[in-house]
Amino acid sequence: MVRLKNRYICFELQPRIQAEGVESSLEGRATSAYRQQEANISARTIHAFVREQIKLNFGDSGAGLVLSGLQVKYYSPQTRMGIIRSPRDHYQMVSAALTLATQVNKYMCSIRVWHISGTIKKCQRAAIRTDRELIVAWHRRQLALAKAGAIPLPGDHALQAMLKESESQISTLEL
Amino acid sequence: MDLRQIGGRRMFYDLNIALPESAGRAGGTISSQDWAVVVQAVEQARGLGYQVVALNQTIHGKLAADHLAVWRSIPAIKNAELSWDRETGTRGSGSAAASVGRGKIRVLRRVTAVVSDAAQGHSLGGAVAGEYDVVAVRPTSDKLLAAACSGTWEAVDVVSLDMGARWGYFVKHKTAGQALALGLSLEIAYGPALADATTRQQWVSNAAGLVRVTRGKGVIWTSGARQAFDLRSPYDITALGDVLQLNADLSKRALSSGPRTALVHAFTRTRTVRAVISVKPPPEENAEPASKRARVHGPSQSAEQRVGKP
Repeated sequence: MVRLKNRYICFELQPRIQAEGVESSLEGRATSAYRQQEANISARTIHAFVREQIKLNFGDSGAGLVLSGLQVKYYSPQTRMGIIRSPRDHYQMVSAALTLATQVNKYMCSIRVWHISGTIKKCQRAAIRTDRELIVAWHRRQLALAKAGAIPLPGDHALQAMLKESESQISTLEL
Repeated sequence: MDLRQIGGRRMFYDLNIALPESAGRAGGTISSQDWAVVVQAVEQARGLGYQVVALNQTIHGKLAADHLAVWRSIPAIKNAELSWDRETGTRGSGSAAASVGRGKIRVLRRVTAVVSDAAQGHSLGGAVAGEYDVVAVRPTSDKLLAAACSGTWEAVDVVSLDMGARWGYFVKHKTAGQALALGLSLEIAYGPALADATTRQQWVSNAAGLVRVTRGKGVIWTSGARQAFDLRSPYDITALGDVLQLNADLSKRALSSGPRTALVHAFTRTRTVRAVISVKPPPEENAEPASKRARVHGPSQSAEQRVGKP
């Protein structure tokens, strides 16, 4: 039987931040307009964007080859991580298109590919792990800020809730 | 300090993080704003998984001692080992290609001399070039490229060409083969690929041509990044390489063992001569590194030389 084989590409949008005060990707002196653009990005916009990028770099034929097989399985605006499914024969083209991107719609960012695998499981694990690290790092920074008196102390339950939510979101993805 | 210290596997190198233009003038300076951008780029590189980066000072014309002044003003970078002493600006004693501590990044000094006539190429020898960890040359015509690749200028480790520009000539198999035979590396900077469509087309054309002519050997991937935003992780660059018919294995080599070869080339060119001089050379002068001499002639002789005559 002929199977359609796929590759799952786990990626992260990395925002463009000014140099003054080097900060991690979960926090930044981003202006409110920038944050708004970031919040506007969803799985749908990513899908349209990837197709456009492929067409831009690899032409109509390239775009056509992945037309039916390309799907954004998951994207979280909070952690900016996502998983894209692509046909196995053309995953390098999709990955290259992601690398060459310097902005998504109006949002200036670069795209980093974390993991590519044939099943979604490993990608899920990679996404969960990176999500977790980012959330923990962010939480730590929030605690430090709270100590300095800049913001009120975030509760521990907030951290747990965020971790659980991201994990469940990723785990319940359909294959 | 012997060649066996050359570091372990899976180290990723980015030998071209570009310093601003102001650094390229003799006696030029870099403002603290510009340094902040460079520091951010180094930290980004560390986050992306690179272990060694080289900050690239691009100069036009002859290399002079004044060009070294700018390296002293670098601010402190967390988790980074500089290959030079910030106070005095002189080169550190460690091997540039030795293993890097976990979670750390080593920062090297590189100079790229944009050469528009042959005389400028010859200025690359000497003590000033010896202070840099990597010396690169950017020829501006095919004759100069041929000169660079055939070894007429001794102090060259990397041949670099502007990937986003129209060259007006092809790189020939013969030229590339000569460079590889001499141990030189050819650099492919992926910075121009991230720019607009026209530059990108030119980049693919140039880079694919280089890959074809070298068959993927002796090629090194660098970023040419001016800022953190222009850096990409090794994984992503391998994806780009695929477009150029550079398969994953060759891309990985171009990110690790290729740059290491360039650093070893520079090391052999500069440090071993110095090592001989510090040991008090025997009457028959040869440029073999101390470790090789120990291996070839036996340990006792080199120990004798190390103790040396008072």
